[in-house]
Parts: sequence; structure tokens; C-alpha cells
Amino acid sequence: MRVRTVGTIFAKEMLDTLRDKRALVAMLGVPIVLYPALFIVGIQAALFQTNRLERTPSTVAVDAREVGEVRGWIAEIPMLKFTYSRNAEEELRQGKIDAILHIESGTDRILAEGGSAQVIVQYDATDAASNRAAERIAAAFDQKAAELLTARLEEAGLEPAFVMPLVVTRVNIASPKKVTGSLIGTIVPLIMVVMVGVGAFYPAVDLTAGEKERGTFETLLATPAAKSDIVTGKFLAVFTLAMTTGLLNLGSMALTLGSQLSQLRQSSEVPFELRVAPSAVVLMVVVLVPLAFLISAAMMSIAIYARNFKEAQNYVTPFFLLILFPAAMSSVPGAELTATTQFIPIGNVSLLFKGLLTDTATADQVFAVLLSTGAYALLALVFAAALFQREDVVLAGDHGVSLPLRRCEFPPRALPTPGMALTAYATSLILLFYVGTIVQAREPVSGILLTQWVLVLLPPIAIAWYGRARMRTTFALRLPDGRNAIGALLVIVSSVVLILEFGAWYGRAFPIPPELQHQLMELFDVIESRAGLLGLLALVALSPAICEEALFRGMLLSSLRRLPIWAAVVIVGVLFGAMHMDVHRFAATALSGFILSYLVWRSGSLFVGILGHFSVNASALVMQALADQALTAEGELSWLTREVAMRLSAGRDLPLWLILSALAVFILGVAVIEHAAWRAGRRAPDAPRGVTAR
Amino acid sequence: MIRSDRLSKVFPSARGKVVEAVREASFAVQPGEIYGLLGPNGAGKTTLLRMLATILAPTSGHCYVGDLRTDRDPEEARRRIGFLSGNTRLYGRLTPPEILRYFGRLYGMSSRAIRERTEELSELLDMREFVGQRCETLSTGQTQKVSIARVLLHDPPALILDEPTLGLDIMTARTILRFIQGAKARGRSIIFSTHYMTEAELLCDRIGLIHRGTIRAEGTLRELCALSGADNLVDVFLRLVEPEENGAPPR
Repeated sequence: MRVRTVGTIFAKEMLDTLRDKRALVAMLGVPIVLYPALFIVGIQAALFQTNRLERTPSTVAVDAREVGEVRGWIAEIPMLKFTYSRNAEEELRQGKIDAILHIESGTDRILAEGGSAQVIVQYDATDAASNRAAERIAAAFDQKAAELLTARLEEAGLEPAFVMPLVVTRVNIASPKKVTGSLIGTIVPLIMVVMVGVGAFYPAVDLTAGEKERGTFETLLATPAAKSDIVTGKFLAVFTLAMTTGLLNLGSMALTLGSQLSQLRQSSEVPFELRVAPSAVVLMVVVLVPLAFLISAAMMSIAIYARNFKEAQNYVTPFFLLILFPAAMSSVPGAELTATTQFIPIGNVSLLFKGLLTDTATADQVFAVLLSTGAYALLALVFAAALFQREDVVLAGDHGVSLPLRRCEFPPRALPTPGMALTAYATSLILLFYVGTIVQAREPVSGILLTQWVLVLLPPIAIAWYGRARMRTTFALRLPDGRNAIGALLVIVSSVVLILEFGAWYGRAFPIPPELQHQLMELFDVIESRAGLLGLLALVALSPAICEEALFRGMLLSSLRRLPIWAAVVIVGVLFGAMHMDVHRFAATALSGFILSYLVWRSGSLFVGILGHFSVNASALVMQALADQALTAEGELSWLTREVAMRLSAGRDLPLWLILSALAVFILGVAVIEHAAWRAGRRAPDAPRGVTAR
Repeated sequence: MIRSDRLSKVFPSARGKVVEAVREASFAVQPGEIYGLLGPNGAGKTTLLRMLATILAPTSGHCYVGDLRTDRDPEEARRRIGFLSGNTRLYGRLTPPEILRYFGRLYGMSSRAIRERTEELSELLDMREFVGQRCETLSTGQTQKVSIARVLLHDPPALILDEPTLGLDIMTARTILRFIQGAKARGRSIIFSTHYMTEAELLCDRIGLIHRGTIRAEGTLRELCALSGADNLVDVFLRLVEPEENGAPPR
């Protein structure tokens, strides 16, 4: 990828779009003008109406005969204007009067005898003024009834408690902030998704199908810009515009709501308080990134199929309507982020927004939503990029476009493309969400085996086969040479110590919730009781070592051979950490990911990665087992083993001398490997080890 | 030099059938030479030129620009080619200098080189009067001048021009033909396709006649006349193409 080319294309697309009035209206007009205006007009009209109702007395027809002194006090009810009507019900229906008050005849007498008199208020529930009148009458009569009751109780010599054997008080513990959050949390997420969609829609269509229709695509294809650079530049433009529209909306919504809610507060019983924590706002913006990423990439890959603008609109509109369903999940009562819903595309973002607004979202949820949305977004982008590679799609002329990417269309290659590798990664990740969590919950032993050997290992192998990438080179199936083997051994042995120490330190700095820790231990116990320690090692150390290495240090790393080593190591390490879907283990797994990627890159051998991965996983298990043993049988363990195991199980640091010697061995190992690489580089410059031509 | 080595292109079409748009086309264009490609509509000219410009991948065969096989490094190949066709239009919302800056950057030119070259070409192509206007407001002739400027901007050794004078008035067409001759004088290899026989007679050193995907005849104007027994290009063209159109087997 050439940054200059991508930047040039991005800048031109932005300029081009910003000069297009139609795009500007869709992107800026709606959030900045239309929708605050609608909101302000709506709220002001409601306030005006409410105020008017409050100030206007209600006109009430009275049907009250022989009621005696009751007539006197109803005349004193404030804000009521009494009238007489022969045809009261008809007039109420027509809205000429607001309510009809019937008081049972002989009320005076009934009350004096200690009976119950009937009072009936007729009103029209669909009319605001009529509702108000009914409320005013009911409130006045309720008050009068309470007075009468008190008088009767006094007369009978009874305490007020006599008629209130149970007193029920409902106390709302939700802060005003939370009440507001849950109110706006039902609708704001939907608006956000819609707005990001609106922002992405026009540029996604215009930059792909629009460019085809205007006949400028071929001009662009005739330049030295690689197709991947073109798609990246265009995608960045669509993404930026979607993001901008989303942010403008967030801002405009906050300003409008902020100014309007304070006015609404005075006239409402519900305590409103729009104060979202700044950290939640930051998180909302952060979540907006993968959301805009996903929607932009998906819309682009749909629009590119179309031959012209109109056709693209016909394709993208149903997609847009489709994503409104999950987007509306926030307004479903009781819907919240769970182990399943946090992986529903778009829906998870909608629910997370709601969670952030009501202050109930957890770090785990934010992580899971970011990760899964990122995975979907990546798939959509890879798909869009793959479509751009196809000449029948890009130059779509008179004959239509066929959907499948047939195997025979892929040229045979030694190494997989980054697109293939990312597809494998995203596929594995999504399978883990939906299948892995379920099968593991059902039955741990077979669940883990299935997860590893099918969900993690199968996608890269299948995709490498389908994309006709040579297996031997893709998965680095060769033995390391002597120097690399020695260097790698030194690094692995020392890394085991260093990663254990890092885990102890990290666990103190960011403690794992005890229930999570407990869950994991319980799982290990279950496995161990069924398969023994060796079985546990095979299941939790060896099997992931083989399967995960094939995906990460095999396919992913091979696909990045054109990048500088540090970039590949960082990318693969971070993706490896993210795959563990656990915010608490991310740092430690990413760290081991960096080291393993480095070793496999230099040695060109996946076996080194497998050995290293196994050692790291096994050491943690063995230490745990040793700590248990150290507590029971003292004599059998050497002093050092016991010391290390005990310290680790207590979360304390390892002895300093051990850390320092591990560090020294680590550096020595790296030096041996780098020396070997330097010597190899002198023999054959530019050729990374273990890799033939592309 | 541009060379085509047994280029073929097969398109899939409905119900599994295939369309052979170009079959085993071979020719070479030397530096300082203009090669004319003539053929009726649908003969495969555009497909052939698109393959040379690396916009389409050939089903079989290879193209070379100089000593570079284009499928080995298509990006470098495109750097050495200027490609113009009816399908290489310009961005309507950008002005000519903005378009030239955009493409200059994509061709890897420095900002200064782009500026100088834009100045030079604006002068030569007489683009000054409309330099501040967006392309959507330009006439056909003005647009074509900007397209020519775009093709020549990075001064490529190979030019592939698909009907560059289509729909132009005589004045603009003359300006553009002069430019092509100028490029020839500076040692560029030029492939030029047209429907105007007079242009071809005037401009081309050698001519290839393409029909139904294959190059039927190739040579200088005199050679082609001798071959078909006609005394002008129109007759040569008709004699090569017509028998087949009337159902006779190809020679």
C-alpha cells in the first residue's frame, strides 16, 4: 500500500463530494438544520400548548340536583367555569365544553347518613383540554373526600391509621440522570445508526457506481494506483463522511436536547437531567468508529455491484432498511447486552449506546462490541476490496455481474493475500462468537477440541485451499536452521519466565474479577478430573498451540510478508490478543503474540511458534498444578520450583535474579537470531527467510 | 516500444457460453512510430487496447512496454503508458488544473513537476481560457484537450489512444493530431485507433486491420493497398471486411 496514493485518492474524493450539493444536503443539512429545527419546533409547540392549557379555565357542565351545600364548594374549585347545557354530551363530543360533572341527587343526605355518594366525570380522553378538566375535577374531589373521611374518623373516635392498614410507598432509586438516559437511550441509538447510514449512503454510491456511470473509473484504473489503494482511499472517504455525519448528529443532538430539556423539566413530573459522563461520550465516539467502518464498507461493497447510480440506490436502500431492525433493538423493552446480543451486528452497538447513556455498560461489553463490530467491518472491507479486483465488476458493462468468486479465478500463489488472511481471521472470530461459546458451555472437553480444530484451524486451511495459496509456504511448514533453532529456544525459555512475571504484575495492576478467575479454574478442574493433567495439557496447551499458530503465525503472518517486520509483528500480536475475547487477558496474550510472531518471522518455521505457544500455555498450567502440590506435599518439590509456584499463585513477583537472568537469556536469544538474519541478508538481500517469490 | 504477443481475451456470457473478443493478436510498435488500429464497431479494438493498458487481464498471451512484461508489474507498466479512450472521462466537479494535479500525483510526479508540466501543456493546448472552470461546464473539444493533457502529463514512452478525435470539430481535431505527431517526433510509441480513414492515412506509419477479434492484415498503407488490390484505405478496409459480412468464409 502506498500512503501517498491512498492520501491523494482520499483527498480528491473528499473534495469531489464536498462540491456536490446533493451530498452536502444529505450529510449536513439533515443533522444541522432539519433535525434540530424539528426538535425545537416540536418541543416549543408542546410547551406552548401545555402553558395555554394551564392558563385556560375548563368549561364544565354540571348535572347536580338537590345536592345542598356541595354546590357551594364545587363553585370554589379553581380553574373551572360552570355552565348549563341541555345537550351536554353532544357539546362535549363537539369540544364546546370540556367535561360533564354528575353528582348524585341527595348527596347532602347521603353524606350526612355516612353513605357513599356517586360523582361521575364525563370527559373525552382524546382531547387534551378535556383531560385537563377531568384531572382538575378529580383532584378537587379527592381532596374533599379526604377531608370528609378525616371528619368521619374523628366523629367515630378512630385514628386515620384505621383505614390505612398498609401504607405502600414506592421509592425510585434511579437518579434523574438515569431516568433521562433510559428515555433518550431508547431512541438516540436508532437515530445514530440512521445518521451514520445517511452519511455513508450517498458517498458509498457516488464513489463506486456513480464513478462507473460517469465513465471516470477507467481513467483511474489506467494510473499506476493499485486497486487496493484505490479502494482504501475511497473507503476512507466514505468512512470519514459517515463518521462526520455521525459526530455532527451526536453534537447537534446533545445541544438541542440540552437546551430543550431544561425547558421541559419545569413542566414535567419526571425529573430530567441530561448529564452523560464525559467518559461515556468518549466511548460513544469510539464505538461510532467501527459502526461507521462497518456501514461504509458494507454499503460500498453493495454499491460497487451496480452499473449506475440509480441501480446502486436500489441495492443499498433495502440494506439500509434491513439494518434499521437491529438498530431499533435499543427501543425493545428489556433488551440489553448479553453473551448473545453483544455479537449481533449493529444491534450490539445500539444496545451499547443505550448502556452508555444509562451508565450500565461494562468494560467487557465495550470490548466485545468493539471487537465483534470490528470483525464484521473487516469482513465487509475485505469483500469490497475483493470485488474491486474483479474486472467484470469494476468495468461492469452490458453483461451483468455474477456473484460467486470462483476458485478458478484465483491465481496460484506461494503466500496468501492479506484479504484472504483477514477473511480467515474474521470467519474464525465470528464462529467463535456464535458456535464456540455455545459448544464450550455445553461440554468443555469436546467443546474446546471442536473450537480449536474446527473453528480456528479449518477456516485458514479452507481459505488457503480455495484461494490456491501453497500450503507449505502459507503455513511455514519447514524446520528452522540451526542458529534460528538455538536462538528461538533461548527466547522461548526466557519468555516463559518473563510472561509469567508479566501476568503476575498485570494481575495486580488490573485485577481479574474473582468470578471470572473462579470460572476458569473450575473449567480446568473439570477437564483435569476427566482427562488428567496430561489431558489438560493436551487440551489447553498443545491443541491451541497447533491450531492458533496455524491461523496467526501461519496464514496471517505469511500474508503480511511484504510489510516491515515490526508492523507484521504488531498487527499479528494485536489480532492474536483480540481473538481471546477477554479484556483482562488481552495484554498478556498480545505480548506472547508479539514474541511468537517475531520468532516465526525470523525462522520461517511454524514449528517454532507451536513450541513457543505450547511452552507459554503449559507453564501457566504447570505452575498452577505445582502450587496446589506445594500446599499439600512439601518435601517432593525443589526449593526453587516451590518458591516460584507459591509466589505466582499469590500474585507476587518472581525473584529479581530470576527475572534478570531471563531477560539476559532473552536478549542473547534475540541477538543470535538477528545475527543469523543479518548473515542471511548479506547473502540474499531483500528476501525474507523461508519465503520464495510472491 | 509496445508489443502484443498472441493476446487473447475471452469473456464469459450468459449460460456458460463464452465470447472470444480478441484472438491471438500480435504486433509491435517501435519508438517514433504511429500504429493505426482500424476495424468496424465491435471488432475488439477497445478490448485489445484495454489489455495493453493493463485495465483488462488477457486470458492468454502477454503485452510488453519496452522490456517490461505488463502482468509482471502492472503498476510500473501503467506508469509508462498514457491511455485515452471514450471510457476515460474526467471528473466533472474538478477544474482542469485540479484534475492534472490529481493524476500527476497518482503517476508519482512531484508537485513542482506537475505545476511546470501543467503550465506547459495549458499553453500548448490553448487551455488558458477555461482553466478555472469545472469540467462539467466544458465543451467536448475543451474536455478532450484536458484529457490529452492528462495523457501526456507524465510524458510516458507509450501512448494508447482509442479514437482521440471522435466527435471533435476540425480545429480541435487538428490540434490533437499535431500533438500526436509531436509525440512521435519525440520518439514515443503510439497506438492509435480511429474510424476516420483520412486521419489514418495521414498519420499512421503502419496500420493493422482488426475484424472479429483477429488482426486480418497489417502493413504500411502501400503494402495494404498492394495486398488487397485497392488504391485507398477505405477500399482496403471494405474488401477485407465485407466478404465476411456477406457470409463468405474469411480468407
